[in-house]
Amino acid sequence: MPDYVTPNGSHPLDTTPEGQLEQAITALQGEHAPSVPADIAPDDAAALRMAALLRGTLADDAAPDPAFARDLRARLERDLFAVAPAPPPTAPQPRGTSRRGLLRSGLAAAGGLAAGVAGGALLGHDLTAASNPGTSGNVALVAHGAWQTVAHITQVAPGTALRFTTPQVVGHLVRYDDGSFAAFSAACTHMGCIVAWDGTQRTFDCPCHNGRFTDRGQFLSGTYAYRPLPQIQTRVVGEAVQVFLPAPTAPASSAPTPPPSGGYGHEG
Amino acid sequence: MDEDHDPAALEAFRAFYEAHLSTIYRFMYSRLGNREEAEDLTAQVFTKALRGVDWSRADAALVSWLFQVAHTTLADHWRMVYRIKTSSLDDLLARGWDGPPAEALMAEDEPAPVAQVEAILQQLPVNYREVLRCRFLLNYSIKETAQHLGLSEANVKVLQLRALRRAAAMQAGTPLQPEMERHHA
Repeated sequence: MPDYVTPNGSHPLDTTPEGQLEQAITALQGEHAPSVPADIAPDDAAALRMAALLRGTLADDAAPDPAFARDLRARLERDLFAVAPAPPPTAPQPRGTSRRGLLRSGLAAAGGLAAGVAGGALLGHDLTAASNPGTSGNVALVAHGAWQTVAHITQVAPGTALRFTTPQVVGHLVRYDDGSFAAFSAACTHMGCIVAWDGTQRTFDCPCHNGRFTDRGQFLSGTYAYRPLPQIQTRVVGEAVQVFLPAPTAPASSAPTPPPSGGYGHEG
Repeated sequence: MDEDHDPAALEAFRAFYEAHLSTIYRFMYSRLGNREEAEDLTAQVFTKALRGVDWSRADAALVSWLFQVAHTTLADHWRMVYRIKTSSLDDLLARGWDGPPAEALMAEDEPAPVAQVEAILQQLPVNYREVLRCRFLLNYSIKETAQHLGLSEANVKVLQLRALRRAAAMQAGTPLQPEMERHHA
């Protein structure tokens, strides 16, 4: 088993062409999108793409994952015909879903699940509609939850962001130039990778498919228009910066056993 | 947008989806080499291509359209991820579809990746071919590859980069470039 880590950048990266290539190959072997550095040299980009082509043509099992096929169909029916999604099937997943399932679990373990998957339901869909620069404490969202302290006020200078992790969510706490705070889920609304704060551009950048979001969570660029990063309510109590999160529950999806099928019913 | 969801349209969609999902997915997987991206791009293709389709009149043109979207979606992805120029496709898009029948692009007889890849592999020096075989056919880890070839892992890293660069150069020199070049014909 290769010691691949998700392209969330949590691994000390070897930035030589050899190292970048090896990371890409390992990603491919894990059925994962290779992370291509923005400043990659044309030769190395060509080599990397050749690696993808080789694996794509030489690897045998290229049938679409049944769970993927089912989910995409349900999503299209919802979008095209407003058909309500069918209840999730309970049949065990056939082979082929396992690797992806593992990847999903990995993401969940990394905190992406709560934020990106359940985030829509957990945090509400139209949070951004309520987002307002000056009133970071007033975003209407979670009905039942609890305030959790994620930072001391001096930890986050204006114009910077701090990543925080709770059992429910991985998020960023942003402080604007006027001193106000806002918090956003760090799970990219595309496929759930954890976005990284770019302090120079003041954007959230996704390492997986180059999705970018503004410091207010709004979609900036990507393969298509992703939904905004879900916003999380914040408040300052004394010198503690707190976020309002759903109380931890014990739904089936949080069970450590392989999830039956519920993990697919969402857009990454 | 879609006020009347008549059952016939839904059925037409389902039949269309079942008929073409696998083709589009395999097309993507063969170029991208990983499930995550193949699923992502497949989803994009269907989402983009089927928006606003009149299902009562869906016919072969819709299949062509789907495949065209698949090609442009892949080209866009390559351009974005690998910074590869595919301006000819922009032109194509601007002009609208007037290429060869889409079926020809995706058909079984496409001399595509497998044969091309094998031809390239055959022409590589044997040590290059071996390292690529270990990584991409056998799915060996770098450690396993190093053991198999009797090299250090550092050597394998160097070797596989050289092998892939060489293979890429060979590909660039052949009339391969499956999608891009064909539209010029």
